[in-house]
Amino acid sequence: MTTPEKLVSRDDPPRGGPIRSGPPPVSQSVADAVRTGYQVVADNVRQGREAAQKFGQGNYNSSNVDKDVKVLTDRMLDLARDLTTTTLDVIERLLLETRSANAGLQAARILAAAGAAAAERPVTTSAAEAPPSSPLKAIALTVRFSGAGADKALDRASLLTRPAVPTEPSAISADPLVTSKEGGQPIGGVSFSACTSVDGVIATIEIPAGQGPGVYSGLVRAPGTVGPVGYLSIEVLG
Amino acid sequence: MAAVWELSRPEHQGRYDITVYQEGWRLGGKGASGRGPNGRIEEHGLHIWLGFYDNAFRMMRECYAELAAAGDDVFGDWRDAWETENDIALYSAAENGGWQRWDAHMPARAGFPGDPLAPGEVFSLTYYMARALDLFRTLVLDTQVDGVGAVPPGPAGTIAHLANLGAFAAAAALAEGLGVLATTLRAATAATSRGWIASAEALCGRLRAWLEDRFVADREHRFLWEVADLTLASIVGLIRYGVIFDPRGLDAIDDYECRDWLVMNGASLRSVQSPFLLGLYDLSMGYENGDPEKPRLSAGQGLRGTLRTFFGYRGAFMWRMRAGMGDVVFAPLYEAARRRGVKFEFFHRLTNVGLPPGGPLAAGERSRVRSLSFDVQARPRAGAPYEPLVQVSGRPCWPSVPGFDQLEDGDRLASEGWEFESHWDRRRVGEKTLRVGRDFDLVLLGVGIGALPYVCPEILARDERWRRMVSEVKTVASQAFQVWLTEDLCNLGWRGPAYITGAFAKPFDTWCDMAHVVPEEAWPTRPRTSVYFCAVLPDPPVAPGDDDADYPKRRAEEVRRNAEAFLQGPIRQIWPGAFRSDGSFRWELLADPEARGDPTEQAGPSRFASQYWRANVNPSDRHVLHAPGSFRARISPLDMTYDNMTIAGDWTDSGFHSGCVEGAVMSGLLAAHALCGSPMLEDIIAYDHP
Repeated sequence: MTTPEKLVSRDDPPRGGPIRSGPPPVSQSVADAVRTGYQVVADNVRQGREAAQKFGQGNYNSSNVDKDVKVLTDRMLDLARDLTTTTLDVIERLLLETRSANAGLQAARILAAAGAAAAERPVTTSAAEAPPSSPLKAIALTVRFSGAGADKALDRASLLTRPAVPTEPSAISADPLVTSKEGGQPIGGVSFSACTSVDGVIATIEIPAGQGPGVYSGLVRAPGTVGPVGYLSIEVLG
Repeated sequence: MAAVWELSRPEHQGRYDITVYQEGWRLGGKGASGRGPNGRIEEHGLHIWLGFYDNAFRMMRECYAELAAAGDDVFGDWRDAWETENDIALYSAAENGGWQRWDAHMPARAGFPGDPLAPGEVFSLTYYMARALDLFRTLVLDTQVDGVGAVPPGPAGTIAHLANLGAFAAAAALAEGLGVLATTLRAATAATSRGWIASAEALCGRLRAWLEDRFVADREHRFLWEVADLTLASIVGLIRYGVIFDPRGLDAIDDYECRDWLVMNGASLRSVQSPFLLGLYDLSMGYENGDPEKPRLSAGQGLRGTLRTFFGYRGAFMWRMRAGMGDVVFAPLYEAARRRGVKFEFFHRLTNVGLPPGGPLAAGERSRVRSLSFDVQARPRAGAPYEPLVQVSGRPCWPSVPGFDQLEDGDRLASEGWEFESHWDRRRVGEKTLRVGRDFDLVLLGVGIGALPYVCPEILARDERWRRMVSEVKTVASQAFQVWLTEDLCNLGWRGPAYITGAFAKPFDTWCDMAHVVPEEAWPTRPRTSVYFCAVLPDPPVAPGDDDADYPKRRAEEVRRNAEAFLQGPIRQIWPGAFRSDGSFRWELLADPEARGDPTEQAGPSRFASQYWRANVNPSDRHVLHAPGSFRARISPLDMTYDNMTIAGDWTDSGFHSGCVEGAVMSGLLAAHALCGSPMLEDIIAYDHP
């Protein structure tokens, strides 16, 4: 037993009651993320087409070229980054795994409802190729910022799924958040925690003073879980 | 015990030094059972495990596996300890007097209760509503309508009967139309639901009207119609009250009385008086003060329980224990927990939970437990720990009476008739006080809610929330009796297998043929069957005083009179072979374990004295109800008012607010989480449920 001077107390539980509304289905969470991702793609492609159309129609004013091409180039770079680094790859992987749990049908349905946007980059891997997986369960994730540059940062689209084994929030980690923009140093100060006043897990990202503007992304990992359990995608404004 | 099971897990590597202080000589509370003469099983009542008791079954499956792995195979496999039951019989009063029987068969389902949930499976009302439409098909395809004398004789009558069934199948086709709606429902969100809700309610209304036009006057199909009507009312209510997307889930309608809410949403009066709904009230003992004229259950929990019961079961609709609940559940748990190092102190009655000095607790104020005071009811003889189990037919069982021979001065205690489980017998041989920091660090209070005023008066005096909980979370007394018969029920005229029967005549509306447990007993000449009866027991207008030592005996005598009258009355309708041609009950059917009494009176009512009956009137034995609005008064085991204490029991805010095994186990899991952070809340099956 303990001494009277050092009595044992219970820790505050993560929450005080059941979630009656039910957690959002994994397929819904993933589908929403996929839809957002494809919307980004579609917007960029649409603007590219519009620009090309203007060129093709021959009514393009040369004074607009530099500005429009620069905007288009920037967006295409953003698109390439989104496609090749983290976001869509992770989302797609989650979608495939979720499909194996028979929940991806709804995701596919919503995906289809996204219309032309989805058609720009169809999922190329069939459900039959999906690996067997443990059930995925989205966890509520709140992204907070600290540090001198906190007021210039905002969360774009982050996702956290339940680790394969019970994991303390503090044991969750994130790869350094990187950007393709020149001068954007990786952001490494990411910590995870939980408290009773906030549902789910809190990711606190330290934004140093003078952090270069751009979209920063990185994978989230948990000990005992093979592969990422989510991703962080934030934007630092100029 | 669920919390003890979790805290003593080997994964904790002995971090928790656990001692269980137990009143009397056996574990189990309302689930305790004992072995009487000839090893016969003597229960508190009729205990059936429903097929959705996932958390309870998971615990027991682990327990049985752990014992087997340790080489203790006396309990066998858990699948041998529970038997499946997919049939239930319900009764309704016939228009020409007597009773009409309705048999329902629920299809077996894949898996076993306690299996992990399927990947991605979540509990949502949209899921249930979609499944509710499947129920229409299930009812038509799997329910056998078997009204007594309902099928007219001859080929023409048979054809007419089949035609009627076919017509109902056509109704199911209309329900299939709702299936399209169900598909839409699965993808609905709060933002997209507006148009869907309007069309769904309209379609449900048309379906009800069609069913009513077709079947309301058709007595043979009354049962199907009533169930369909109640199902439709539930669907309409969930839509109309916006429950589907309400963050409160079914708590949003828990202020309504269940039958009132169904009527408000279109259910007919005859449906809310149907055997289906009466059976649910009977099984839940949902009668205020035990008065059969005052059915009172909350709509939210009622619907939650019904949804879980019908759509959440796995393997079988119900599971019957091979022997007494004490033998099948608490004996293995006791043995396994003891192997893990858990210590047990029997004959300890808690009398106070001490707090630091102070006045009433302010809202949000925290406190801590400083001491625990016990009456020591008896002490084991020096040098020998109390061994609570006895062997019956080679298995460890709890006895119906304590092992007086193991107690100091046991002969005297036995001769003086000390009743260790009676609230009104406060005799003791000493007192004991445990101090925080010296004797304990953390406390788990796991008593029946009816006992709280007597085990923690100091908390109730200072904590308004606890007073409110004790006041508003209602309980009801119950009565039970068991008979052992020398002829089986088939021989006595009962048609069909060993059904669980509900909505039967008062006062014993629920009963079950328990022939399967007799081989576990130790009769020299084995009876052919035993039958268990149970029901609520109305409270007296004035509650008995704590000094009314004779109260339990008076109520037990009342139960005996009720049982004798029942055997001579309503039983005639269902066991006609138990009566002589002159109309008198064949008392000699009752198997007497001691063949006592005057042989000339063996055929008379006095033979009932050889059977078993009881009045569950102890405060801790009372069954917990979920009355409208009472969910707000329940306190969660996760509540942090007391830094070093949590609570467990089916009366807490466990997520499933019904007096049952599953609610108690969920509460125990929450209590374990409150003390050590494990199990994760997400791993308590159906805790996060609408």
